Amino acid sequence: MKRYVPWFILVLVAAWLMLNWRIPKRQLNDFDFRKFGEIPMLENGRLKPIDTVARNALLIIRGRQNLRLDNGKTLSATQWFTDVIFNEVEANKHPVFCIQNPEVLGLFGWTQYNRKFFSHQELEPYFWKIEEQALLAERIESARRSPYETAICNLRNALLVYQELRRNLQPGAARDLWGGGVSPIGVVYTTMGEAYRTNHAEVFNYEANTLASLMMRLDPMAASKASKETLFNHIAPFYRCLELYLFAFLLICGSWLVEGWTKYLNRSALFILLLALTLHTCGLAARMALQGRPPVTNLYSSAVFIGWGTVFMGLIAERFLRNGIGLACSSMVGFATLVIAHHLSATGDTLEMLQAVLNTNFWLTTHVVTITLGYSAMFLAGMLAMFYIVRGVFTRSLAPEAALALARMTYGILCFAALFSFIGTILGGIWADQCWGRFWGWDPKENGALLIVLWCAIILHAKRDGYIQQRGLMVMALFGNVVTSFSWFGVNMLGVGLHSYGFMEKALPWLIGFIGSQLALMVLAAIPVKRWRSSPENHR
Amino acid sequence: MPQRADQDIGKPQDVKYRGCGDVLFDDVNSSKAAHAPPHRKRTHRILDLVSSIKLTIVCLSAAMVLVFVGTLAQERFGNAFVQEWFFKSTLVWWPLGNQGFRIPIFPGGHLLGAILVVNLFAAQVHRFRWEWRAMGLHLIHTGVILILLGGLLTDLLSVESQMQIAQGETKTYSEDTRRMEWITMDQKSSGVGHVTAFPTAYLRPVRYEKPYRITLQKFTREYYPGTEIPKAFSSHITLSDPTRGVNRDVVISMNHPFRYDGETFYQVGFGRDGLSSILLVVSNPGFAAPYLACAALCLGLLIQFSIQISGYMQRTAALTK
Repeated sequence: MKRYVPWFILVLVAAWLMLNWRIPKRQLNDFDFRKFGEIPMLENGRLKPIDTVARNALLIIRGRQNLRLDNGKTLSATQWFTDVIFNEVEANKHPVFCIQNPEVLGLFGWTQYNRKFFSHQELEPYFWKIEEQALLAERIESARRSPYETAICNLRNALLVYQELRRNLQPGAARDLWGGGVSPIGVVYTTMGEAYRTNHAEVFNYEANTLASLMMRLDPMAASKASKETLFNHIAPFYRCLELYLFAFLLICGSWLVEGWTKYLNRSALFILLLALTLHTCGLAARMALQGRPPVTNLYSSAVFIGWGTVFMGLIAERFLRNGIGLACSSMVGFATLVIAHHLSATGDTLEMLQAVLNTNFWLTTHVVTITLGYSAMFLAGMLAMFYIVRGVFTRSLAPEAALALARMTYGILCFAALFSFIGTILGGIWADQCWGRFWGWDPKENGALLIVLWCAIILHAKRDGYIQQRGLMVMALFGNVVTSFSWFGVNMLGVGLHSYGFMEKALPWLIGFIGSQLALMVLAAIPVKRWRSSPENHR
Repeated sequence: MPQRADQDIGKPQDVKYRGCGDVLFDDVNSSKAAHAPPHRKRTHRILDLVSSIKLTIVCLSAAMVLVFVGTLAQERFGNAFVQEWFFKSTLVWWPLGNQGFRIPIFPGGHLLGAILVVNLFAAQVHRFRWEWRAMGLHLIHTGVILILLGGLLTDLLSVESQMQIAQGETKTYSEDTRRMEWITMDQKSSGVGHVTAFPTAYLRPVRYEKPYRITLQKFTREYYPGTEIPKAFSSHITLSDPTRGVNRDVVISMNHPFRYDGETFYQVGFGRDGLSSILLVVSNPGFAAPYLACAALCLGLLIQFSIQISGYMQRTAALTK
């Protein structure tokens, strides 16, 4: 009976996913927001569906992709967007602007109570004040701003995004691909606006269809891509994977803690991980198809790809170790990287166009993918080392054979990481030589990659000559996590050099916390072996 | 046999790690192996030290510290300054007081690189084995030596300058805007009854004259529609070199440089008016080193990887028999 549990859990999870992805049937006199959301629009140089524009804007302004009104109703991003461009009066009443800093509230004479979302209408009398304060705050360098200054700048930015949205699609001055003048699109938008305000759903839907076919005629590829992208947005594969990885991790923990259920929960976790990996892969493939680019093009996609790489390698490790540790590492790193990616997506379009210097698919495929796989491998090795140390110090289950198996696997993965990091770094140098006139420029990201290569070299040479044994290898592999997180993430916070895309003040405390945790584990591993609970002495 | 308390959890039994280095190097030089006999010649002991892995590890660790601290310093002091201070120097100096006093606090990039090159070279030579199984590691280490040497060559010999040309303009020189030179000209002024000559002098960026002419026919900037995000830049130039009878049109764009007469022209940006192109001109005699190194490394890594994988397969097969 127990052996059906993994399948049962898999079916449950699949059903949950299907439920999540269900598109509710539209009533006849409802507005067809789905159709409207699929229409492509030009923003930031990219033709994207209105759905994406709406989601990104709402994410920047409100921090979420939907809007919960005071009366309990929830609006989707597209519904909110339609309000913004067609029904200004109503839209201005929606509480979309997030203000949590008490000093900002104090500017308006408000005190902090239960609300954190405010409407355009409420803020309107204070626009001049917000503008004045934000301009003052912006003169200060981003890293040195106080929380108040950051908050006021964010608020102003959100207001600008909001107003820009409306300007983009004013029926009178409709921006479209064919330059100015009265185009058929402008006419359609005007009709749609009228219909929306007077609640004539059939007219609205009819015009939406007209618009869709207009776009299809003018740029069929963009139109079909836009509808696929809308579907992609709806499925939100990476967010679902995040949840699946967490669930898998809980299953693995359960497999270790619950007597008699080890094999079955382990198998359940494996199934869920395979499902998650499939979804993860499809998500990456979809991104590649939509962008027409290799999988890694910005910091967001690097996070998603690192997660994918580590999950994949972790599954292979599990195949050899067969004790759940591989699955645990996969799910942990998969979860963590997708959480990071989720936060990185809050600053705008993750499928953004690439600037000139990155406009080369060859190097994006070779150098960037190789280095990112190197990062994945380093993180996996570090996680395996973490399990070795925690298991060895706190539990009795790290028998010598298990320890040896873990150590061998870690060593093998480190060799892989060394290989890929080394080759990736060299490829990066060649690309730089082709593009910027020099093989090596001591750019922070280049330095970070070099640090990883150096660290791998030190580990391999120290092991080869016997300076470190098994425990030393694991401790050094764990430090690899520190080096890699600095190299991948930390250098973006320095704000210098060619590679500084994405400034993350909020992430700094997390990074420091993570590095601290790894260093603490290294210190833990340094206690004498006879005090480890798994020590052979304690086994007797 | 009782386990010693200070041994590792998993005592490496007979299944020891056998990296291919075990095949390559003599056991005499392994630090955990038998001690070197005391009557070993002094030169041999020095050679042992210079070619030891211990030295490699020390150098690599020092390099890590240097690169890490340097990267943090770059935020404060800028990339170019830190390069000269940390990476392209023999020693890292720290200023003391205001009278120009300074003390060296750490080996600089060039010193560490030099020690590593010597160490690697000595290791290859002193412990060489003519076995094809060792070729992989040899090629890898040769590749590393080539990269280090190439880096040194580039630091010492390469010359970078810029050429800013407006559309329709012809230039015969490039300039280094970071270094200035004095230009003096004698001017004659004639007034009633006398002729005076007086020198005038002014500063201008250092110029590198070229024997050829470059004319910018057209500079195109392509942006993603409706944005300021650059998609591609390219300069359509005409190269005219009477000394070699060359007169042709060339397109230089981002990621696609133009090489001529030992120099390479890269499209790096454009002037503020948007109509003039800025090219980076690099003359780097050591340019081939990284490519040679890359070839050696790829081959070496391939050989090494194949050997290790086949070894692993064999051992696994032996274990499961």
